[in-house]
Amino acid sequence: MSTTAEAPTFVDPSARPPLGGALRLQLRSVVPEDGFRVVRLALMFEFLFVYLWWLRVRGLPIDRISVAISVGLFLLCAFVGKTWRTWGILLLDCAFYCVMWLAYERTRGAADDGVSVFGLFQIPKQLQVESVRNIDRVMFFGHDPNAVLQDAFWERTVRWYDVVASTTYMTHFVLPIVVMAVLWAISHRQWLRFMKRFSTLLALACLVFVILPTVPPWMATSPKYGYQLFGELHRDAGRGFRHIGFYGFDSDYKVQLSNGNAYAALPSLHSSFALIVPAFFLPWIRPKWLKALVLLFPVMMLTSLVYLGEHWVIDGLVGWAITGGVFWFWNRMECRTRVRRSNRAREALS
Amino acid sequence: MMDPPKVLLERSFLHAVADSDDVNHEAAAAEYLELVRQYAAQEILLVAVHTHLGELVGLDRKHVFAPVDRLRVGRQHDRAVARSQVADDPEFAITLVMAERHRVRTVASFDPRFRDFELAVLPAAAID
Repeated sequence: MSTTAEAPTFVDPSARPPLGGALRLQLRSVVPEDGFRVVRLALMFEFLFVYLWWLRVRGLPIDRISVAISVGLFLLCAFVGKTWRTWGILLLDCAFYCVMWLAYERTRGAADDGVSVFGLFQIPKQLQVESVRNIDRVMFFGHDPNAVLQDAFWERTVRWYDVVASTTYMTHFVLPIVVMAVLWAISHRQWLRFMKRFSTLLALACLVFVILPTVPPWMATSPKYGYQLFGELHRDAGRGFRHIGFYGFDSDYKVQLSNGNAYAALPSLHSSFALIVPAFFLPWIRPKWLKALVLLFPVMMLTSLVYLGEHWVIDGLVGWAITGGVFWFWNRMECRTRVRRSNRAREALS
Repeated sequence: MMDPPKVLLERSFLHAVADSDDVNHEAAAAEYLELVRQYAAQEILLVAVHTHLGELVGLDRKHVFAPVDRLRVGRQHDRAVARSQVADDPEFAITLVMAERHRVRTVASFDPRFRDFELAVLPAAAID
């Protein structure tokens, strides 16, 4: 997958040797510093402290409302003392952020009665059950990866790898949001670049959820739903996380999660989000071993999802493919914009 | 922090690029084309104070300054100008304030006063 190298090839003109050799003034000695910079930093650290305390005592905020509140509080800390115009832009950004998640929520169940294409014709709802399982079996020479992993590793007691798998699973609810919040605070330009990719990924995933509703492995093996493609899988993605003393945030907000679309297995957004974050930051990472290490994270996520019975392998692979396509598309678009603007400047000067 | 280094096109530089009768036009145009090349290669970002760009009516995003992002001046920047040690020249002061607030380390300018600060000043030939 190609990622735009925003950072690594800079030739910083300020790195040129000083001119004249005379002692030169720092800007700060002439113009007043932004006094709120320190306040913002202090507030952000305070927020981090409170967030970690909350995580330990009350649990991980994973529903949309709790996440929105925590992001909102962080932004308040990060934007104290900025210009009114910056606040205005932040409000627009927040509106876009809310619309994006609302649109995502609304697509849940949109395919319950099939999909109407501009009112002209109806695509009937066709649940994918055996097709995805068969693809997995082809890829793994007749084996069901979910069953193989659970047969080999799942025990009554929680083992260390349950903790790893469960914690990796839970990062899905935090990692992309933390990245958005941090980018919001440090660079609006990079926030926009990330959000273009993130929202496109979300939109494409929702489209597939609607067109190709897919039953996840835990449901495909559960007697409760009548599929029972193979032996019933254990389903408790949070047990390793609870084992180390953390909890899912438990309050009235939990009702927000009841709208979850159980047939949204393909593509796996867990896998996609686990890839989009390392892929975005890859150009800033220089050592190849570190690049390889961060790219292990999406692999770890997919392995965890399969072990926990949450997704088929093909769900994760399609999620990665869509993420790669989204990066390719936006890298190309951004490059074209730069070239178009540069050409305008050259033409105007010629 | 994560963005490419910003090069601030100062007022005198913008006018020299835009005005073919300006004495520094050729030097400015040559340097600007080099900066545009670096911009296209993602090595730098080009920025200018929005009021300075606004003086050049018609030469906005669609034309010669298409690659240049605007740094919007807010009231807090105006207050910083008033409290600065160079408040007697507001245009010079606002450039310094915006350079400080946006962590600019390179300025394209024909104003020799920028040589007094810890900034790389372009075009280099104009100040050597």
